[in-house]
Amino acid sequence: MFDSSTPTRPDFRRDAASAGRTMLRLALAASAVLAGTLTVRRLRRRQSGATDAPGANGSAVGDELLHFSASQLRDADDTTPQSTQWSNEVARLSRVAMMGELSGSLAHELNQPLTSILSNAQAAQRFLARTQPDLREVGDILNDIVLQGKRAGEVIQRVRAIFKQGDVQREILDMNDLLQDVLSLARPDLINQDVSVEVRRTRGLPPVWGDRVQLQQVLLNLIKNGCDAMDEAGRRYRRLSISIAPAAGAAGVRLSIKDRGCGVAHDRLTQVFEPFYTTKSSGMGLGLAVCRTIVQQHAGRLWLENNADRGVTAHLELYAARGEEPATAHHKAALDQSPIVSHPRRG
Amino acid sequence: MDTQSNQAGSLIAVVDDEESVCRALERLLRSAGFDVETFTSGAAFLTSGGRWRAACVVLDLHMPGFTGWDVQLGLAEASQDVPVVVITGRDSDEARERAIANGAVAYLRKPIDDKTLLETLATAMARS
Repeated sequence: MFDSSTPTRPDFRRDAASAGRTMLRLALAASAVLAGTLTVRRLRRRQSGATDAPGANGSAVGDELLHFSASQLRDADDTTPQSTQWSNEVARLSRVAMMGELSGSLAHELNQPLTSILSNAQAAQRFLARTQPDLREVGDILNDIVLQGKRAGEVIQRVRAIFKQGDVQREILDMNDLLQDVLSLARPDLINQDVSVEVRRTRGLPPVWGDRVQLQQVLLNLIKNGCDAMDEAGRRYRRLSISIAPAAGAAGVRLSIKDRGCGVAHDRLTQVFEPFYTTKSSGMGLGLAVCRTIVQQHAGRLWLENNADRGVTAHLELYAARGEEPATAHHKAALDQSPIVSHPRRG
Repeated sequence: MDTQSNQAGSLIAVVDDEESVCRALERLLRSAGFDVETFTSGAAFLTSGGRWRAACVVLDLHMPGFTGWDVQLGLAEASQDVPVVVITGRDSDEARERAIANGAVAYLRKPIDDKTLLETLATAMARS
């Protein structure tokens, strides 16, 4: 791990015949904070002999050039296009890594509609082969096939959205709907880990501003962490309690995810948000760090609280969408003062 | 119909928490000449009369709360020797080994081809 403060050129010129290809991109941390990214690209020399990126740092081998560039994220309230672009890219990379872990769930999500489609279609073939086929039944079967085909398409769309590069798309969101989408995606893993979920919703909540995919990423990460925290717990403890309610005080929405795992030591409740901090045997420990960055960019708050009985509750607060988006800098101080709330853990 | 003549009309129990899968498998098995009862939870199947009448069970593994493995154990505890064909959309060596160890006569991965399913059921019922 190393610091780099070398500014990068986000749009270096490329010859049309030698488009650079990104080979590697790493997240960098400095002083326990996500600080930027290191990118390695492979470029080809132009026929004239010039490289594609004047003044770039690189290593030439024959007609190819390996180009190294580092970019630095600045403060959370730095909304320059370059800083925003790179923090979005880190968030996307984290999403890609997370989806790799969820590949089994994705396969399951697709297998269900495919099973329905195949069995329905083969049943229809048999019914139509009869001397007096029941066409009404075949019609019902075709309706089901269409529905399940659309469902499979939606799964693909969700996956594509997660892997998509590009700018953040802010829109007005309903947190209840957002949670429902995430629970659908997480369902196979919840079943696999034998975790039940209870949800308490509040009707009439104000909508929030946000990027749907990034906020789904945050919720998915928090749910997954809650499940993993209960891995060693007995079956009766494997329950996530999720509540969505108006935020106390400020006008917004608070979503809380309570697990019944072993909790987090009081002095680690903020450390868990540091890059590369992990207690798991696999994973890079970037999930919560990226979640915090995303929530910061949404002018929200994210913090953990040990429960009085057992486990941890993760709280996410977002401001209500009223007219224009809230200014990130205005709420940075609020995020910095996120409370550390801990009840004594039972030994 | 392509069921064996002595198996036509046999009752197959389909247990899968996914309603659309239950419906599709019910149609497929019915088109092949079987009677079918469907259950969207393992607990509902075990407490119903269907488990006693079924000539064979098509059982999903990964169901919330009461899993397919729990159903297998429930049948064993009741000393019910009905052949169980396990189906799963979330395949793993561990899942397969556990299902077979619990007495499954077959382990099929979703999506399921009709010929494979019907031949498996015919074999399972012939042996029981």
